[in-house]
This record gives sequence, C-alpha cells and structure tokens, in this order.
Amino acid sequence: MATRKKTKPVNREPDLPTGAQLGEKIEWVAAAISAFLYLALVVYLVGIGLFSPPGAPQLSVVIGEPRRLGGAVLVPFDLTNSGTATAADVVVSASNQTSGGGDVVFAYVPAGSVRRGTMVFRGDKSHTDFQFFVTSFRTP
Amino acid sequence: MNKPAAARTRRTKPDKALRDFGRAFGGALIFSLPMLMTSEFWQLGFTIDPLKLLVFVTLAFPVLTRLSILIGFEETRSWTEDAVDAAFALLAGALVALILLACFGALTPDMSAREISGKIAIQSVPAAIGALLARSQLGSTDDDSIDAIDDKQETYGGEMFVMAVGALFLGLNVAPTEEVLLIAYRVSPWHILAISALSLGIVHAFVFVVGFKGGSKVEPDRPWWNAFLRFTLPGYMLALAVSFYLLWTFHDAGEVPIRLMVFSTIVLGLPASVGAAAARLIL
Repeated sequence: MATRKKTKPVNREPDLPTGAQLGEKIEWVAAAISAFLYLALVVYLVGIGLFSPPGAPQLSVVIGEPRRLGGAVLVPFDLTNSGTATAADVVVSASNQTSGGGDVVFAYVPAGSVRRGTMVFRGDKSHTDFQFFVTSFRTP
Repeated sequence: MNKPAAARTRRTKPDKALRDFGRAFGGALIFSLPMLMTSEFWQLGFTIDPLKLLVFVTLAFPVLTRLSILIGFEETRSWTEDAVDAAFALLAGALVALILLACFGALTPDMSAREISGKIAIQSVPAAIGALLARSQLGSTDDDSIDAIDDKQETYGGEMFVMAVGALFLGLNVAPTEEVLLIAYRVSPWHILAISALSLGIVHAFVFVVGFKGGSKVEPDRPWWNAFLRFTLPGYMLALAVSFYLLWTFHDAGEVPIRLMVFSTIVLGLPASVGAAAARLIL
C-alpha cells in the first residue's frame, strides 16, 4: 500500500472499516482492468512487431466525379496507401490536354489510409481525359 | 490576533475579487503561454470540427468545476460556487487568449467570427486550468484557503482525477503538433513498446521511487508491485485515455488506421504520463 508523505497514514489493519474495504476493492478492480488492457496492448504490439514486417508504401489514385464550379472543373480524387509503410510529401500530379496540369502535395499518407484531394482545371466537363499519377514521395 | 490575520480581516470584498482575478489571469498566462505561441493551435481555430470543439469546451466545464472543488480560487461551501468559479476561470482564460492572440497578430478584424471564436475557445480551456492552478501554486503562504487545500482528505478517485487533469494539461501542450504523428509514422512496434515501458517507469519512479516532494513511499510490508498495480498502471491507462481523446479531437484519431491510432496514442501518452505524475506530486 502506498501512502503520501504529507497526509496521515491510512489504517490498513485487519479490522478495516467497511468504507476502507470498499475503497481497496475499487482499487483492485481498477488494477485488474488496467492490467488486462495493458497486456492486450503489449500482445497487439508484439504481434504486429513479429508478424507485420516493415515494407514500402503502395500508392494509387482513384478519380471521382468531376463537377463544374464557375469557369472551372473540380476533379476530386482519393489517394490510397495500401502498403505497410507511411509515405511523406506525396506529390500527385494531374494533367488534361486542354487545360494543362498541376500538383497536390500530401504531407503524410499512413499505411492503410486514404487521403482526399481536388484538382482544379479550366474549361468544361466535356474534357474528361484527366490523367492522375503519383510523381514522388519520401519516407517520413 | 497576529499581523497576517489582521491583514486578512481588513481585506475588503473588492480587494479580494481583484486579487482572485489577478491570480486567475496570471495563472492562465503562465500555463497557456506555450500554447498561445504555437501555430498549430491557431490553425485549429478554423480546421477543427465544430462539434468536437463543442464537446471539448462542454466537457471542460465539469472538469474545471471538480478541479475548483479540489484546488479552486477560494474555499467554497457548495458545488454551485465551484461551478461559478469554473465559469470565472474559463472567462479569465478566454480573456487571456483574446489579448495575447490579438497581440501576436493571430486575431484580426478581417477574420470570420467562427475563426476568432474557435481560436479563443480552444485556448481558453488550458488557460482556465492554469487559472485554477494559480491558487494552489501561486497563492501566498499566509492564505487560509491554501491551508484548507492541504487539509483535504485524499481519495483514490480524487488522485486519479488529478492525474487525469495533469495528463490533459501536458498532453494539450503537445497534442496539436505534427510531431506526435510524425514520431508515430517513423517508429516500429518495438519503439512503441519501449516508449510505453518508459512512460510507466516514469510515472512509478516520480511518485514512488525518487522521493520528490509530495511523492509516496511503498510500505515496507508490501511488495513494490502492489503500488504499481493499484496506482501506477491505472494512472498510466488514464493518461492513455486522455491522449486518445486529445488525438480524436485534434487529429481525427478515430478515422486513421488502428495501428497508427495505437502508436500515436502511446507517443502522446509519454508527455501525458509525465503530466499525470507531476500533477499527482504537485496537487
């Protein structure tokens, strides 16, 4: 049992009053729940440490439905990392024959996650020859 | 009647109100200055989900009320007085945030009402904790109410609450920064295990081993793991829970892969654990 130096020591003799017994039970319940959760955490970390070896990012881009806004066409896209490592400073480039191209930079794309972006083109929706591709990335 | 007691008798209500406000303002300033000068906090003013911001500020109120009961501005007679003190602390925190952010050029008249209110609301919570801490940490030694704090009986729940507040406070300093996620992106599960073990070790050592003022000692007739299981481990899990909540609020922790969620929670759990242990010692 721990007691603080500044306060009076708590009586932990066999003839404990009911309140103190209840308090001790609560402490042990909290201890049991915490120990169970912590052990689960350790098992999970050891498991992915042993069975999920470090790999490389695997990036892909899926284009969404273009929509018109004023004199521009907005093309949303999903950037997915289906690999087992995080990619940093991911550059997604896009081009269109009639209105040129551009880049979007994502600071981080963690393994198993999706990031969303939008590319803005001049012109109208009839030009659907959009090309999207990942140009570069680095390890964090 | 001794001299300090006579001085207290002469202290009028306006004097006391002014003194309490000065302490609250000073505490808010001291404890929130690092956050007021962090650009990630400014950005959160307009990037945070309004619902999460509402939850954050709403949850702060009962926490501040409970904190006021333990260490507030004055000795109170009912929880309603503590609720008023909690509101007063939030007001002082918001005022400090407004003045400082305006001085730093982080608040300008051309900003939207949502951005201005968001920036102030986020900062007002840690500043309000600082305002309440001011009484116990910055109050003068001739203050009757400080003695009253020391005389209050400790309870297990009270200790855990104080640890959670410490975890919240130090975790708040770090949670919005990009470095928490950057570390989680870079490291392996073995690094995370080491961080977790280190955090647990720090909490246990701070409270039970190194003999800091306000620390505890393990009773000689009980093994060391008794205190570890009943105090250190629950305290650490509480710090992790607070870390997860902060990451959910500031980084959408619920929407990232589970591996990253666990990693970033344990990374933020390190400063949160130090905060929990320090609060256990100080408060």
